[in-house]
Amino acid sequence: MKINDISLPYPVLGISDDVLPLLKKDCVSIERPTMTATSLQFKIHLKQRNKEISQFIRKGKAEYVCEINCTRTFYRKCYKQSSADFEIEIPRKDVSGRIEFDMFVTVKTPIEQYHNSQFNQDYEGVYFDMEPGDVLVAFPSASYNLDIKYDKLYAAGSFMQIANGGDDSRPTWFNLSEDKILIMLPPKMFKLYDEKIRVDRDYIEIIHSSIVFNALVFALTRINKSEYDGKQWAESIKYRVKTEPALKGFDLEDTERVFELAQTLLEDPYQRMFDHLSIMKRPVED
Amino acid sequence: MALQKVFREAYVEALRSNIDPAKYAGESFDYEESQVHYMANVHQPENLLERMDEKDELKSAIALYEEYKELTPLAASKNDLWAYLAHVDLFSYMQKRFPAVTDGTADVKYIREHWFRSANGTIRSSLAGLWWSVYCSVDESREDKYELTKMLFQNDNIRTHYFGPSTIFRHREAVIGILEFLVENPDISKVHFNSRCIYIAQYFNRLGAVKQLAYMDRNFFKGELMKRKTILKTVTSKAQVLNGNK
Repeated sequence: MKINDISLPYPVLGISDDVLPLLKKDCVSIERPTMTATSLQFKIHLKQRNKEISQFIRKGKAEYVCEINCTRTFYRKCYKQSSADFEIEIPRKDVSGRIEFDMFVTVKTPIEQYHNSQFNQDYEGVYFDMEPGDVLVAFPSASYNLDIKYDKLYAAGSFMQIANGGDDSRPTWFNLSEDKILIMLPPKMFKLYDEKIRVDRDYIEIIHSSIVFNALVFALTRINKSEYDGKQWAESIKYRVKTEPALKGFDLEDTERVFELAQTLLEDPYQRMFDHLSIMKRPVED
Repeated sequence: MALQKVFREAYVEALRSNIDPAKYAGESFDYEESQVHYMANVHQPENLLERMDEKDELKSAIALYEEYKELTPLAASKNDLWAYLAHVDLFSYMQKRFPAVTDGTADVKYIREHWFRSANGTIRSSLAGLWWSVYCSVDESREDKYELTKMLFQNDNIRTHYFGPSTIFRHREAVIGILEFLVENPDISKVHFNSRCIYIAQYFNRLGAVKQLAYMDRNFFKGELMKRKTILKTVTSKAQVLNGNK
């Protein structure tokens, strides 16, 4: 179950202002996993302050739930308990790439005529018959990507790649559907790139400041589309924007500054190109 | 028994980026031996090719799963093994299964879709899709552990388009509950199977928007379908479901 700006047929704490008190920013905390040779150990802490929901949990009518999904390995497990603090161990052999966490308080045994004194006033006088599996609290989702080498994200090659587009009749295009941003060159161009350009230091800065830069701008303008959720390139850029001091102040929702952000991510490719052009050897003239 | 060979991951990407259809038409695929390494703890089966049948997906899927039963989900999620099998050990099976490569009509897209991970997801990938379909439906507690797998393979469209790619397919309890219902209710599964499965997939997809399905066990899924059996019996066409008449 994914809760993204949807409305359920009953009020849920965590969706809009259905139920008070609203969840705070620190309602979910997931520590970086402890990695052993055979497993990943996640510690997850959930916080909600609605007294009536807490009462349901104490009485065993509801429970905290952490659903873990890993698309690549078809891993989907649901951990249920009365405590808000989870310690979950996942065998390394069971997961790969992105691991998603969806946390809830879920109804365990039927609750007839559910009403919460902290319902939004729109629900005044309204009662609901809740069944097992119905959601009382929806916490924000979280994810962890095992593929991202968080200490090696800085080279453009870690999230972008020039590839053979396979069709000479189609001009260069950018493929965002894979884990890296792929710059798809027509085969003839790719052959030239692969055999001559890629190996020549003189061309690197020009390539970075032209097609690589264009591809990155193209990707940044689309990074928030749901179809790119979980793609390694998108996750890498989001992580860098969130954590790198040089990128502080950039907001991936702000399309006005995409051009500037792309330059910062590529470490000022125009300046690098100009610096390089000024020292490039000129052919000897007769 | 020799250890199973696989391609290096970078080599898989290189092959995928530089597909030449002519290289797929010959008796064997010409690859670089230096780009091959061994898998730890996974042995190369001896008679897998003989057990694979290009005309029978279920038979091939069970053979593939049995020969690689010990494969971990992590190892099975990578492209290195499946790409190696498709290009080397099972190359002749792949050519027969996807004959456009030998009759000269295959283009780069066709080969990319069948010899590598499909752009449409794992279940629609040729060899990986077969293995994962069995992995997700095998039930060791049954007398015939492949009873539910057989139901899943009854209609390839259902496996690869409706159930397989859906998130519910990753919830083992749901897969068992739904397939068990279909096995136990032949009056539902023997006729109009395609459209009835579309109804079921659509029903749980909608229910998943208001209920946490991963929380529920197999009895819930089976019970939900039992409650809707009368409606299911009236489903006789795909259009009926897709137009929202059910």
